[in-house]
Amino acid sequence: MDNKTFTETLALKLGKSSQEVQAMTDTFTEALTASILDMDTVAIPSFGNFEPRKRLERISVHPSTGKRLLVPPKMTLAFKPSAMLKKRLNAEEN
Amino acid sequence: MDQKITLPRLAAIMAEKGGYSKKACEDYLKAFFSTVSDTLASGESVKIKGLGAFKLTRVEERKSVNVSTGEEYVIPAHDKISFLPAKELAEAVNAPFAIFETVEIDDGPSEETSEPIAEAPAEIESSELSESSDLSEEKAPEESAPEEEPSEQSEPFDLSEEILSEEEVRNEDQVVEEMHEDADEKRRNRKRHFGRGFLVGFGAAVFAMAIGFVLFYIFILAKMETRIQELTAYEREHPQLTAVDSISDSVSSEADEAVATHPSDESGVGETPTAKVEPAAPQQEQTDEKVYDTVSTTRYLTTIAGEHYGDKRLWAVIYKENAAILGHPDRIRPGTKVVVPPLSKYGVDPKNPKDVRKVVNDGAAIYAKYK
Repeated sequence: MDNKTFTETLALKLGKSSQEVQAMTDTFTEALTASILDMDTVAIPSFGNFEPRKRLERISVHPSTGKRLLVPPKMTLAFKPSAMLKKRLNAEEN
Repeated sequence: MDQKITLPRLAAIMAEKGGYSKKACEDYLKAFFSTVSDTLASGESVKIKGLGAFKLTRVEERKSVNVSTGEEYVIPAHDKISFLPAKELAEAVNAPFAIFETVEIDDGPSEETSEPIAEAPAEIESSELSESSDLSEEKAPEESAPEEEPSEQSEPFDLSEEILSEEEVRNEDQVVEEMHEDADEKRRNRKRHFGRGFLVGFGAAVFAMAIGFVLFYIFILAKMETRIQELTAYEREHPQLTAVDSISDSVSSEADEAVATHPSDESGVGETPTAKVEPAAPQQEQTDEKVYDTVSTTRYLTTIAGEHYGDKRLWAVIYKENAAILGHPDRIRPGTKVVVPPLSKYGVDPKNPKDVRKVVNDGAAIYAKYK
């Protein structure tokens, strides 16, 4: 499902226009980013957790040139689905 | 920091940022996540602009083992959700670390840092080696023959002996230094391709070694010179004293014993001039008196000692005299020409069992060095 379909589905559910929903989605992303930057975990019940993770710096070797590269540390956003969501996925699956 | 943001709190943050009501935000979020999970449950991936994509990945069934019971069981095939944050979101999250860039590591600096570590043990080793050889030279007789009285220690070893031992030490040092340099040379050949930093470090190490070597020379020369001056000054003050007396005085042991152990006074007198000449030109020591012999496959140091001194056990004296050219006493190259020094040079009397024991102990010390 792409962004457009998703927004339309959501708009239908909420009884709002697509533009409104898209604006809210942008606000949601903003809020999520702000929370993650504070090193906070965003927990959505029966969906999952969005959490920031630190990746340590590492040395990687370029496979073709053989040069050693120092990859700097970075922050990533990780999503961990809740047990409920996983169950639901595979319940409908089987 | 490190807090858990729940849905109501997220709604509150959203309301603050977008100017919506809390209630509307909460409703929106609930609808949002239920839609996403519904879509995922129907087996479809969801892509949301600005947030990222929730993708479904098929995981085939596989066998696994229960860690506690050791029983095998099958993990059934299932779908896995993987979330891939959108580029903007990932960049925003990584903002604190955005200043860092992937950099190429060239081997130069890493070699530079590892070089002193590699160099230091080698340096210590060499100094230890020379030290330990000194110690074994000096301590071995003391330790293995504790029943000897301490005065005996200094008495047979007169001035020439002392200088000679110093020379030996220096020769050994030179050999060690050379070995060390050889090793360095090899290492340099091996690591030539490792950048300029390494070469600079190596150059510095060699320079430091050279300075140390020069200082060592200067120190020894200065020491010798002061000793000569002392001796000559002493002799000028007491011209009536015999050379033997001067030796025994300077060594500060009982004069009687000194005379007793030097069987003939002539040898003692004959030695002092050489002792005085030696420090000035240590390389050309009494060439005319030298007796040479050659080591072969059937003639060992012991054979030579037996022929010249009448006692095979005194081979260590010959070894000591030729320490500079000899390595392991059992692995002397056939055809090596050795100097056979007169026993009086080392103050060894073959009829004195104490002297013989001392030489034997020296031999043991020589072996100990090559273990």
